[in-house]
Amino acid sequence: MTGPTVGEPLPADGGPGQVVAAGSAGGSIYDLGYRGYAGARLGRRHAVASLVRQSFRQCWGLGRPGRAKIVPIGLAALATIPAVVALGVAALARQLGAGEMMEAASPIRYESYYPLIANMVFLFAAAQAPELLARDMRHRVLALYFSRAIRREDYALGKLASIGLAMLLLVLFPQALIFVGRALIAADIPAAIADDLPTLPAIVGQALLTAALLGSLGLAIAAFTPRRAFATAAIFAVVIVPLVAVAAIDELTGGDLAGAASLLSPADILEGANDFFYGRGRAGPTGADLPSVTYVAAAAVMAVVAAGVLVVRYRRIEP
Amino acid sequence: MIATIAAVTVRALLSRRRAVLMALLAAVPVLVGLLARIRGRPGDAVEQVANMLEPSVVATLLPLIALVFGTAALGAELDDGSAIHLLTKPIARWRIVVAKILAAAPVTALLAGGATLLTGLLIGGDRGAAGVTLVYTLAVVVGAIVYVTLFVALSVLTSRALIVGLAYVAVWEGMLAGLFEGTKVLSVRQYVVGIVAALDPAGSVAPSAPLSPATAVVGVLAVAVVAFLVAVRRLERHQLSAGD
Amino acid sequence: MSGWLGVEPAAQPAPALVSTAPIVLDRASRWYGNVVAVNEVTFEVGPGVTGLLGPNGAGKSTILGMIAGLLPPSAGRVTLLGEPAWRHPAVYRRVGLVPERESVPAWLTGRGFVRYAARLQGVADPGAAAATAIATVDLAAAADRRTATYSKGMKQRILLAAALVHDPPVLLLDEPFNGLDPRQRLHMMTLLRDLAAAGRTILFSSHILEEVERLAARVLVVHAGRLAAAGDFREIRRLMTDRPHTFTIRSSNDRGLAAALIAGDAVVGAELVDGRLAVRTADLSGFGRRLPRLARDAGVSLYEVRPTDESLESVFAYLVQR
Repeated sequence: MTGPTVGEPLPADGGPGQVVAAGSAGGSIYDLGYRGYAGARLGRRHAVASLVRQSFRQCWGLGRPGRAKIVPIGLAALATIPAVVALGVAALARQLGAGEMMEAASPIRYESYYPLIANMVFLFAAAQAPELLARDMRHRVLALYFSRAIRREDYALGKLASIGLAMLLLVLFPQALIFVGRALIAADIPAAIADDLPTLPAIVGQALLTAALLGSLGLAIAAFTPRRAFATAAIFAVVIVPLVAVAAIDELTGGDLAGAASLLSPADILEGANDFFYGRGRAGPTGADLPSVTYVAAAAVMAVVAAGVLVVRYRRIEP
Repeated sequence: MIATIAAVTVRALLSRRRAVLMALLAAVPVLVGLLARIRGRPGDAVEQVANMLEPSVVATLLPLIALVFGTAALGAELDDGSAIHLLTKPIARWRIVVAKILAAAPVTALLAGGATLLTGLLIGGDRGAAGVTLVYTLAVVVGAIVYVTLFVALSVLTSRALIVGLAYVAVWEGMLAGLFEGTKVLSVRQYVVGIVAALDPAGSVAPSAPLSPATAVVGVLAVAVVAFLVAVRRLERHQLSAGD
Repeated sequence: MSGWLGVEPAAQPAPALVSTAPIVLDRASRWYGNVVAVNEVTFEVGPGVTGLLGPNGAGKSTILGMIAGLLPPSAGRVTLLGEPAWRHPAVYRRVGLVPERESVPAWLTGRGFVRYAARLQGVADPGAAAATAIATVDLAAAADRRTATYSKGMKQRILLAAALVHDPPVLLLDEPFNGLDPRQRLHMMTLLRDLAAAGRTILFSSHILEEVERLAARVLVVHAGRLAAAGDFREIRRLMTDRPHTFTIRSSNDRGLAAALIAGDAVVGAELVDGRLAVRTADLSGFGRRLPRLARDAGVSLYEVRPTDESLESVFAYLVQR
């Protein structure tokens, strides 16, 4: 749409829906009324980026009153405490000269970090996924979103990206802390870094899988109800109940059934994937004995399926 | 009067979505039991039943179902404002609370207790574990009543009852009360385990010692009574907005 | 014995407002933290229809809430049928409340909801009482459909039926005409008038002037938490002495009359508009005496003399501006 840009004089005839001037030689009256915006529009990519940024902030309760921050930041704190403790103890041990011993004996390592904070991560997904989706559904804001540059799939995937990033932060931050801390504590910094560098792919890989799987699962479930608390309970149940069931199946019927069942349990899948990344070739509940790479595959499949459910849901939802 | 309110509440609780989801949830341990029936390993039946029922039903299924029904019984109306229709009637508040508990507790007990019974019998009913199954069922029914009373009280105290209740179950009962001995006295899960241990010592498989029968019974009664009184008192002082 | 120890006796507190009116507020206030929603409001409401009028945010819903026992006053007293309704559920046997939000359980039928209300009220024959109430609000045709299918007006009416099912002597309605179309509004007004004619006390709140004007015998005007005026609105108008009254006059010679009135100091302003004479006067009774004499002396015949600002709207606008 053409129209006057800033700095140009207004056309005398007004142009499409613009100025109606009652002009005479000496002066004019400008009836400005509604003026359209004719400048550049930032387009779809920018809109999606805004959505992701805004949703990421929502995941951490930023921009909302204090109460909304308690759960995410509290969980992040709980997830970081073991790292802080481990670093503190390691530093102390170094001071006392028992560094090597501590190194061997410490229960807080990269490979055991995920299992340690798994509960925290589940709770984060259960609590925050509904936060992202429920309000828009409840207050009928979706119609506003869908009449903008972003499409329905963009909305769904944008939300997924934001919670994925948030959970990535949740899982990586404490481990990054350990990484940096260990390097700083060590006498020979470059050597310490070189020591830890090989584990980097494992750390990042596990974090990516965790974020993708739990994020997409959480959103897929939360997309079906505008009631936050109900969605939280449902997500929690979907993670915890299969975990307990698999353990029971393992004990009662032995390995192979348990192994099969564990491929349907998000918590078990992530444990198995963790085993894969840290070099254990076979994993699964005690009786089962599956190649650990199957768990990585299962994680990917489940994440993709859940993301698909999310997208389909938002394609068909009535705003 | 109480019966009228309870009947309407049961109808409201069993909305299609809620009922289906809770039934699915309750079906999970039963399915595991079925699997055990078909491909079960030999072993001490009593131990197998206990190892199945304690973590999956007592620790997971029971509190989750009680949470959903308990917080919805009164909480749903308080949250969407339709409680005004119930509260502006000449009915004593304690009657209302009793009616809500009388609606949510049997539904919870039926689902959780039914799952307990079926699962236990499937796993080892014919191998001498019928007794311990019945014991667990009874304990779960008692637990249902206590949990529901607790969560109904929670729903009057806060509009975020479901989340708070979930935090109680997941964090308090799940992690902390298992770690620190002293806090076990304040955990409904431990009361249920204590009742099982009192009626059938072989049925208790918790890693740490269960509460003594006396403590468990006192705990059950204390929590139920205190929660009930708190609920009534807070409901009497509950303020509604006339407009908005 | 007073003054015996050289101590002045404390002044006796003023006797509490003793009244047998169904609804009594005595210096009732309600605040939320720093925000004062209702500020020392005192009034009584008796049988008949009384309207609680005020702009949005004036405190009408809060006042109704306090009367209905939904919230306690932060200060002062609020009594309903002789007792404070707060924490006193027994009073609801004789009170019907129609709240503003029409939250009704969606899966119940209209009849089911009214019957449920009747059972909760302890009515002897819930079915018959429900049928009567439903007939009164003219919803018999739709009574057996689920309330989820009801329009807003129908939901309002079913709430009214539920409030009437136990035949209470007092009815409290919060914005009852919200969302009703003109025909439904008329029907509701007739209904309320008939109920009041039977001796009931009806208090309703509204921010729409015409509704209050047409229906309420007595008006309570609230603004910013305070009671600005109470009583018949024409009486209130008469009391507003520092504001000139305006009249519209049709006569045989408007110009001549205007000149005579101004010269005769009967009016403070005159305007010829639309073929009529509009005058403003500060002295109502004086104007009433002098107008006929001045007109006769000027040889002008008066065809019509009509006050133009005795509408509730002008009263309200004035009160709300102070």
